[in-house]
Amino acid sequence: MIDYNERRLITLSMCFFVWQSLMPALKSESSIISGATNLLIQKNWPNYLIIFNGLYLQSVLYTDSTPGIIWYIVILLPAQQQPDHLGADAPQYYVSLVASIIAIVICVTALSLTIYFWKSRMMQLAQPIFIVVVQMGCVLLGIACIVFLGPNNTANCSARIFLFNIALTIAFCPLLIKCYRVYIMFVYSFTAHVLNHGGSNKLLTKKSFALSLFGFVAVDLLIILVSVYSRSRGSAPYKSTQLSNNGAYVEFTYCGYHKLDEFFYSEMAYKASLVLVACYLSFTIRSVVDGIAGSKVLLAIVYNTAFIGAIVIALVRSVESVQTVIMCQILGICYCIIVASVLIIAPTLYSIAYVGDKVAANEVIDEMFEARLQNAVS
Amino acid sequence: MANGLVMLLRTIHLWFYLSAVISDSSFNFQIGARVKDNVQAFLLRVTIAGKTPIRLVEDRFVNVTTLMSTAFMSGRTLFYVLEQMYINEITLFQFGFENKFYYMLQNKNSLEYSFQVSFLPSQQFMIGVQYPTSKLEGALKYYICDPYGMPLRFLSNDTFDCTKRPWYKTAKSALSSHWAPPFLQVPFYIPVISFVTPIINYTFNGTRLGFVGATAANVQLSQISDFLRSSYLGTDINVFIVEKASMNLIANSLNATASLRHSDGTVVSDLVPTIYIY
Repeated sequence: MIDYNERRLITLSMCFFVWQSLMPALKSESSIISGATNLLIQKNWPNYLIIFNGLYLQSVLYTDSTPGIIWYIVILLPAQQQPDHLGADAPQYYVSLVASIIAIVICVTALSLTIYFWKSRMMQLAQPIFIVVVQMGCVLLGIACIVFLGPNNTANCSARIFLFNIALTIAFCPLLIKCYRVYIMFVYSFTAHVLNHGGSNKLLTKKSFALSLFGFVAVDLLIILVSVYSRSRGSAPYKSTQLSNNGAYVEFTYCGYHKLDEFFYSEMAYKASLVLVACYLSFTIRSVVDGIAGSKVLLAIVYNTAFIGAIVIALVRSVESVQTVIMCQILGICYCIIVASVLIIAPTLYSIAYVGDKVAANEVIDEMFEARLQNAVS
Repeated sequence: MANGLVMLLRTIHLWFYLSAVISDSSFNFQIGARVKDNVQAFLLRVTIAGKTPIRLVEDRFVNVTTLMSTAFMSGRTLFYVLEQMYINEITLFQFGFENKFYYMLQNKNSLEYSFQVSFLPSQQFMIGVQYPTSKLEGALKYYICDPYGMPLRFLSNDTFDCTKRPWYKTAKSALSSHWAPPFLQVPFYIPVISFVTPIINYTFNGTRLGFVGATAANVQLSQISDFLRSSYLGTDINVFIVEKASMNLIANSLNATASLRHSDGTVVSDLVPTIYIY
């Protein structure tokens, strides 16, 4: 017989009595166990490393030397995740965001100054419509840099491909058009007839400029539509399981045009040809009077763009870290748009501020006449 | 020129990656092998303990033919020291025979772990014994164990047929040392695995029999979880074990229960224990 206290304890324990049965791993209260098991079953218990919820999963089949035990031993370790986008959890995100905002502020300020001094003589000689379009393109490129940040969702993927490429064309093609016009007027014709009163080729009209720009943008759009949107996926994000740089298989989300060679190479060929032509033209017009043609500024902007573009493309193709690539792209773009939007207006503003608008304009005209006389003599 | 550019790019690449590479805890594939070895070592300890009673019988420390008349003494000789040695690995030692003679020694720690109640306030172990009888109802008697491995006080009785238990059936069908797949250990339906060894080629009542009974060492699944938890305490490693055949969770170090609990009293087996309190 047992005493009263023992009987009381046994009765108490019966109150806590619960029936138990074996627990299927898929129904485990731990979401890690149930989720990991589900993933491993889906992948048929692979012997390679996979990542689940930020954890490395390695399953080892254990068969005991005594028959009766065949178990899967699953080891979980915190994984160094390889990101597929530049999110707010990465320090590069804030570097890129700050750089983009600074670039946008500088570009908007430069744009405002251009509009403010629109009617000044020096600005009119420099053809403000070119400058404004370049600066607007730079602002759009700054916005495109912000769109580069964040996850690869449908909205971001679509916005990135259009905004970046169109903005780059809008920002760069006016420079090319200007180079071309200066080249045609001052180099190709061998005569400086820019100041001939009533000359038909004096300046590029707004209409022809708009048509030229639209033509470049249309080619860009055509390349995007043909190379990306002719495929069923388009720019929509897709998931792909790939071996990450730490030896584990991870599911990445990419934009539809990720590593799409036909898109990359066609866009690169198009943009590179524009830059190369601009480089050639800006080099040939380097000695043309700076006040009207802005030849030295054009030379600096075009070569700066070409140099930075080459470095960024080389980094994009050689570095595998998505975060680093995006940050480098953004920093490169921000640097280029700051340089372009500031340089394109700086000489004009300097002349207005320190020489005086009227005096500076007269000096430019005098310089042009001297150049014309020298050409005529030679 | 090209080589210079490549060098420049590599330097930039290295610069960007340096901090990340240094802090990168890339997966060491040896960890999986080491965890496997750890689990194997745990099971090996159970295997050694589980085979020891049969060795004692073979070495004639215990006479099987007189086992029934000396059940408590024989049980103590076979299991008591072992249970104390392997208290963290093995929750219960038992033997059963074809004539339904049964003896078990269970430590109280596992019961406390399961029910969080001090079930046996002063004693370490519980003994259960059932002598061959035509009437199974109430034939299995539980005792509180004294510090020397002998029954101290009668606790309760139960209805039990050892020959119908999974561990016994496994031993009978395998006729060699074998792991019984996870089952629920009576009387409290605790999920366990069992290392079983058949007792074969012995003479009973003048007749030489092939299979006469089996011994078993039960390992509570929560004990395997405890082992995993203690092994990887303070590390980033977590482990869980899934049985290949059933996909049941065997153990884990993530503090997740390895058993479904039916607190509403839902019967999960036809072997329902009945405990009578006197």
